[in-house]
Amino acid sequence: MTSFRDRLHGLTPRPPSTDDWAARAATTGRARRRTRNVAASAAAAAVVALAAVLATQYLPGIGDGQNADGRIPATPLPAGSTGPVAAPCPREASDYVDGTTITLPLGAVSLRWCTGGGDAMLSEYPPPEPLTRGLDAWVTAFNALPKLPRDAACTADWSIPGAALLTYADGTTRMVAGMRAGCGTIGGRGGFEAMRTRTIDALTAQRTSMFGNQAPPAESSQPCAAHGSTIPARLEWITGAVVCEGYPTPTAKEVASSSLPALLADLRHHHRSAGDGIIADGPTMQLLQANGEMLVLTFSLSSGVWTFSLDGAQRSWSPDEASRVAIAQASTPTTPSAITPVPPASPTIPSEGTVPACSLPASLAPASGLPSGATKVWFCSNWRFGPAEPLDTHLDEFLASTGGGIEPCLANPQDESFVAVYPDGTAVKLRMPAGACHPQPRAVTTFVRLMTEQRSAPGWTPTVVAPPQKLCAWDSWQTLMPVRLQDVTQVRFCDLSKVTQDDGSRVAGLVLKPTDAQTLLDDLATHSSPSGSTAPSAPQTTAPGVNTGRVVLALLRTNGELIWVRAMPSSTTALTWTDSAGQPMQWTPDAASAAILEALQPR
Amino acid sequence: MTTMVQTRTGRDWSSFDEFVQLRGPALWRSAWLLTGDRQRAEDLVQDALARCWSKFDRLNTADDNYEAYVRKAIFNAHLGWWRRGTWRERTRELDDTADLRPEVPLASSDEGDLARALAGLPRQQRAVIVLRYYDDLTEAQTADLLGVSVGTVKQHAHRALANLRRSPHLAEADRAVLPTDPMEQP
Repeated sequence: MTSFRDRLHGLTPRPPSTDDWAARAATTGRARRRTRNVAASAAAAAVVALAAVLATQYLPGIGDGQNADGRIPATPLPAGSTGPVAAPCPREASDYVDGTTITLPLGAVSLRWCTGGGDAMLSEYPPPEPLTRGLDAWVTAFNALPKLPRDAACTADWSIPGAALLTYADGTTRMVAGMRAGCGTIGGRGGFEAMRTRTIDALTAQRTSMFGNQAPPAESSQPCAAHGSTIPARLEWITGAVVCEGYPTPTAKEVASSSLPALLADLRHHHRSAGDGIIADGPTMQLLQANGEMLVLTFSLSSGVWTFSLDGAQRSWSPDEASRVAIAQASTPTTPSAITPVPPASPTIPSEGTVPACSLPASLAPASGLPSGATKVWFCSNWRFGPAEPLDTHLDEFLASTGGGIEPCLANPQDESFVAVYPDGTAVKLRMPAGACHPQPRAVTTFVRLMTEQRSAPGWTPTVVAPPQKLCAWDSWQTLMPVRLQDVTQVRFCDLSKVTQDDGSRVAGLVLKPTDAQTLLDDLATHSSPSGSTAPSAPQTTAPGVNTGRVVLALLRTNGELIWVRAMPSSTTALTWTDSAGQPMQWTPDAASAAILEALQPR
Repeated sequence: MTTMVQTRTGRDWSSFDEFVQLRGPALWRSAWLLTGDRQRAEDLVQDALARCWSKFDRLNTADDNYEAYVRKAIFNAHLGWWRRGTWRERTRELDDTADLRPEVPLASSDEGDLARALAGLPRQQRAVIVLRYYDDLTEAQTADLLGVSVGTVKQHAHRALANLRRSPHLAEADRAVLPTDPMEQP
């Protein structure tokens, strides 16, 4: 069997000839040794000078922002502030940009650890209380960190920015910011991770001395607005649980408090070491302490288990039936509380998190299906784009198709659902179990057929929605409704050659000029033929596990529905896509299309 | 695999020339996986050999493992080369992942997918992948060579493998042979 090492070895080209390497190395080595001897005496003098500079810098008081590269202006507290309290964290991500090398003065009275970021995927819930003990030691440790050379180049990898905001007795503040990735600096010095860990340890010790082994006091927080907390929650202090579903603005669905003790007991007793190959690609569940800190579990759509990190180790948990039902029945809270859903953003391609009706408080449909009399039915999914509009015609036929044989399946987060709205304003949700549990998705098939008929009515126009900002990064998502080539209005080139660098165009895709887009679409229609696979007899009901083939193009309708065009793993030229009948197609671009695609490749 | 055993246990070479002749190609392959560039890989190895040439007599024993010393020089030079910012001279080439594509005909295009996935890793994660899973060093040896803790090596390996698993460029065949995540071992 081929090993990973064999695969790596197979990548490497044939090495160049090494015949003269030894001689060249010896020649260079001798030359360097001569140069080194000459430089030694000069270096010794430089060391003496450097020692004098460092001694001056670290003497108490002298390093108080006076040295040329360490000077930072002290920021006064906002007007109206009284005394030296802990200043609030800045909100803008730009405030967390690491600047010049900083030397901090002693004498801080509080330190607040802050995190900056954009959407929920990139933000972290910071410790709610400030650190007020051992601050001189913290500052001394910070000032002893090595300075980063001025010409250092740090890559902008995915990372959560963090900062320590110090407040002094006179009310002024100083902030040192940085991030874990790249050069891992904070305040222009190497050691972000060390200072973050030091801060967490100090805060934990402070909590222990203040509250003993009791949970810290409650704080207001917004679940699902962050993907985790700087200090993970402790299982014994959990007071709430929410399921976060949808992208880019996840909706918080609260697990009933009556179910929580049993769910936590199940988790506590049945988690195990996570096996190899579990891909955590599903929704998350946040187990919350009263102070807003959380333990985050992520569901694996392909493995059907939840994974989480506990004491530095990856664990997996397969809930028992009661826990599964509690999770599946999690709903948006109907009364205002500390647990509130994230405000909806601008319209995006419809999915569970962006279709308002999918977040309605809804009762579960009986096993016999959705009751008759509904005026609208919405399709809700966590893993594919549904229609932006509800089905509001042919409803009797659709509701009749939902009866029977669905409920016995265990609930899973990749389950889809229909939400039916009735004239009195009530809503009923019918869960559609995923995968093999539900082999005959008659209701889904019927919904697609009836929605297609509804759209064919005279005067129907597609709802205009914006695709997600990171469209190309979501290439595992599919579209429920079939898309015809003639309905495509925009073509995007998806370049995922550097998936770790989340930088705008790569994940959003490059929009092709209309003329180029039309050329590709014409060629696609003309030079595509059915591939070996047969068309599926019904819409897919299984959440995708792993992509097959790299996405090259996204063909978009104005309503956000799309066709992915993927590169075939087994071919260097042919591309694949699926037509509106569900038939897999193979497309070999002609010369004009190939030239357009080639010109879009990164240089 | 014989050469890898030599790497782990160390051996004494009859001459510097013999060492370069026999181990130069393997060192160059590691450097190529790090950089994705033929010339830069050769520069790295040449530079490391020049730096280590004068240490050959002293370190060429089974205990000291001269090759590990040279390998450390290669990786330090590579990571230092990034830190110094001299990569700016070659930004365009680095951004073009074609640099990491094989320059010899492939058995199948799957291998190109692995190259793209590897190119997407941050440099330190890629360094850990090369040391742990290509050069076959232990976590402790990798940590020693990179001058970091074993925990840091595990973290880099964990993140690198997670990134590779998530990479849309990775073919199923490659995904299936990815090593076990060190953070997920009991």
